[in-house]
Amino acid sequence: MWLRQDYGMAYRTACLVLRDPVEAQDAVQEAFLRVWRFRDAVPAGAARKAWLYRVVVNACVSRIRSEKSRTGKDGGDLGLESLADPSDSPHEMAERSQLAEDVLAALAELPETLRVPLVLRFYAGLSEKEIAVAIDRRPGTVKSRLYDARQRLALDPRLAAWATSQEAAQ
Amino acid sequence: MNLMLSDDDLTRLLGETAESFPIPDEGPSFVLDELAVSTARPDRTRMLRWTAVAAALVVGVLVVKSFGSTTVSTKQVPTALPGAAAGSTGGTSGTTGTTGATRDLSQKLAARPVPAPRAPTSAASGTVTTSLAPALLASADGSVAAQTPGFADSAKIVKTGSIALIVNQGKVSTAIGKVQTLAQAAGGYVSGSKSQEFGDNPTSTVTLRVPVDKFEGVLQAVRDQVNNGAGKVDSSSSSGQDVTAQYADVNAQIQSLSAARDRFLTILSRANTIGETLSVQQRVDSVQLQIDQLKGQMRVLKDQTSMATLSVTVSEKPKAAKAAHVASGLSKSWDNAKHGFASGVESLISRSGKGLLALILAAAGLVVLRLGWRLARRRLV
Repeated sequence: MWLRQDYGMAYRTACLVLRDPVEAQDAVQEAFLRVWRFRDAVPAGAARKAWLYRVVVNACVSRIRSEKSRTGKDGGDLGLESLADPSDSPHEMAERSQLAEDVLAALAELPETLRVPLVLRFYAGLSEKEIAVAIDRRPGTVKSRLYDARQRLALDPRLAAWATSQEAAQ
Repeated sequence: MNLMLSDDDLTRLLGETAESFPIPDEGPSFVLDELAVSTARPDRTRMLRWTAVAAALVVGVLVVKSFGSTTVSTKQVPTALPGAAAGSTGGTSGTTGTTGATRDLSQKLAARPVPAPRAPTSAASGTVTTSLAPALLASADGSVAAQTPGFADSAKIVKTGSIALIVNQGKVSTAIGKVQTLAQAAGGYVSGSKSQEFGDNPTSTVTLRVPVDKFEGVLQAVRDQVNNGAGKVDSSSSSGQDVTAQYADVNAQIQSLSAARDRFLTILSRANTIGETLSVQQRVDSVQLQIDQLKGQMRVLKDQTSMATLSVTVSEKPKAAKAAHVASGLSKSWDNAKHGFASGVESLISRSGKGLLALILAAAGLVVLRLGWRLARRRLV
C-alpha cells in the first residue's frame, strides 16, 4: 500500500510548507489523486519519491498562490494565527511544543521558494538532485536556495537562541 | 552573532515540528474513498481523447479514399487533435476540483460527487480504468501493474434464433407440442405462445428459452422433426450478440460502488452529530440504490447469456388454389372485341375535347326529338 506508506511523510511535509493541517490534508489528497490519475507516468524505483514530492509540492504551491491571490497576502506570511485553527483541539495545541511554534514562525518568514527546498532536504530527506527534480530547478539553484534559507533561519532570534542554548549545553 | 544551524540541527528542528502535526487516521481513507468514487466515473478525458483520435482516423481514411493519396491523410490527423487537447483540459477539472476534507464532514460529503448510474455500454475503456484501481493500491513499490479482470476470461453471448415451419393440414398443434417437448427435454421452457388464423391458414408461434449450450442442438432437433415427413423448414435464422464488455462494465461499477458504500459506512461509524449521521446515511442510501439497479441489470444479463431465446412459428401448408378458367378461342375473340371497342370509345372521348362531346350529345338529342315528332304526327293523323 504505497498510499498508506507515503501519506504520513507527505502530509507532514505539506504541513511544514503550508503550516495549516487542513490545507495540508486537502493538498495531499489532491496530490495523491493526481498521482493516481497520471499513474502511467510514475517512474519506478528511486525516482518515484522525487516524482511524488513534485506533485505534492505543486499542490502546496498552487494553494499558496490561490491564497495569495484571494487575500493579497503571501501564504508564507500566514504566521502564527494559522496555528490557532479551529480544527486543532486544545489538547493538540497544548501538545505542540514551544520549539515547534518557533520553527513554524521562522518558516513563515521564509518565502515559499526557500521554504520548500528546506523542508524537502531536512524533513523529507531528499537529496539536492531529487529536490531539483521536485521543484523543477537545477541542482545549483537548489544549493543556493538551501544556503539562503539557512542564512535567514540563522538570523531568526528564536532559533538563534535555541542554537546558542544547544551549544552551551554541549 | 550569526550562528549557522547545522544539518543535524535543522533535521531535528523540522522533525520535531512535523511531529507536532498528528497524522489524521482518516487521511488515507479519504483518498481511497475519492479514488473509489472517481474510478466509478467514466474517464471523460480518455474517452474524449480516444473519440478525437478515432474521428481523426475516420476523416483520414475518408480523405485517402476520396483523393487516393496517402500524403493527405498525414495532414488531416493534426487538424483534429486540437479538439482532443481542449477536451483533455476540460476533463482534468473533475479531479483537481476535489474539495476539503476535515473542516466539515457534512460539507465534504455534500461536495463529493456521487457517480450517476451509467447505462451499460460496450466501451471497454471504463472497464480497464476501474479494474486498475486495486492493482495500483496493492502494489508495494508503487509501480503500476494492470490486472485483467477474471470475468473477462469467458465471453458473454446473448443467443437468439427463429425458425418458421410449414406442416401438413391439421398438424400445427401436433408440431407445436413436439417442439415444446424438445425444449423441455433440453432443460428449457416455453416463455410465450401465440396462435392466429388467417382464413384457412392457422399459425402458432412459441417462444422457447433453452440453455445456451443446448441451443444449436434444439434448433437441429426441430429441423429434423419436420424433415421426417411432417413438413418443411420455411426459413431459419440465428444470431449472437457479444455483451462481454457490457457485463464487465456493470460488474466493475458494482464493485466500485460497493467499495464506496463501505467507505461511507466507515465514515458513518465515526459521525458524531445528527447532521453528520443524516448526511452520510443519505450518501449510503444513494449508493445502495445504484448498486441495486446495477444488480438488476446484471441479473438480466446473466439470464440472457445463460438461456438462449428461440422463436418457432408453425403454419399449415396452404390449400391448392382452384384452376383458373381458360377461355376458348371464340369467347376470347369476343372478349377482345368488347375490350377494344370500350377502349376506342374511351380514347375518342378523352381525346375529343368538350366541343366534340357537346356536338355528339346535340346530335343524339336531335335524333331523339325527330323520333318523338314522328310518333306525335302519326297519332295526330
